[in-house]
Amino acid sequence: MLELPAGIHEAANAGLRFHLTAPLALASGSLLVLCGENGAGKSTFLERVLIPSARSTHRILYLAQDMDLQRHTMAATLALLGQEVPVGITSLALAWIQACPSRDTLILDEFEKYLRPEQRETLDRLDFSWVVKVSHLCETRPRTQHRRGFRLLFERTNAGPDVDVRLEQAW
Amino acid sequence: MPGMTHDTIAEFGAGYCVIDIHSLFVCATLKDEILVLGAGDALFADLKTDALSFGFVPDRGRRLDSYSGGEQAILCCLLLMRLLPRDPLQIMLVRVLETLSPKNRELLLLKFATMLPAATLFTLTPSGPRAIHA
Repeated sequence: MLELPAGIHEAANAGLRFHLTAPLALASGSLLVLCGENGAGKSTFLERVLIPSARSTHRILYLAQDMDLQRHTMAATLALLGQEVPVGITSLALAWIQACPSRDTLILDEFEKYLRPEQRETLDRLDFSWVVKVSHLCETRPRTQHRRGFRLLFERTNAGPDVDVRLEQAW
Repeated sequence: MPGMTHDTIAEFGAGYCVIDIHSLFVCATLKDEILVLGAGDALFADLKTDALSFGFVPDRGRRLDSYSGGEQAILCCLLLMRLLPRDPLQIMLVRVLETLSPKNRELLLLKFATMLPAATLFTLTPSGPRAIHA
């Protein structure tokens, strides 16, 4: 299970408090999409709440919103695995994701906007038990092994520190 | 020029004002960015008013990389809207609109239409620039 208890989760350094109205408990085979207005705290929630919480029980592969920060890590990983290192950042990231089959949880922060349709399909077919993503693009049910789809909705009022976080099932 | 990266500049910079999500600013804060651009203090007051409609309030001394990706994209576009001439420009938004919520996407396009009515906006697709029609 990918789990997070209900209640208040602080991201103190970012000055945000996430109020999770119900516990998060996602079985294997789940896709979770983080949705909400710009500045609602989706990326902060990933980095300061979800990933630290899941790190001890899940083998996570995380691609941050600013992929350039991970460019050298991705290239080095592929080189060490004896694989070709693509030049373009999108191809590099895709190759890196595909080269790490030992991970069970894939977390992507706005990666889809870089992908062509066939690249999106390639990503959908990868065998991760859990996929978590931040995306502003229209979410249609992917052709994938993910049997359940969920949205985590972020609502922040008046640019204040409190963010309401609500889970709903998409399919 | 803020918002332009080497690759997109090299390929399209001659014909377009390129705003690329990968490289929106040259400075660390709005205060420095406005200073480097040679604009006056009044510009910040205008930016603050503009950003309010997108749901956030910028601070001139706050690190630009501490804003969310979408907020940074909005700020860069608002800054350029205030500085660019009202000529028939070609403005290319590279992965900018995809970073915005549907509501902010619509608001930004409306803002461009209001502030730079003679400009034509483009996105960059795998087959090249494509004009955005309102």
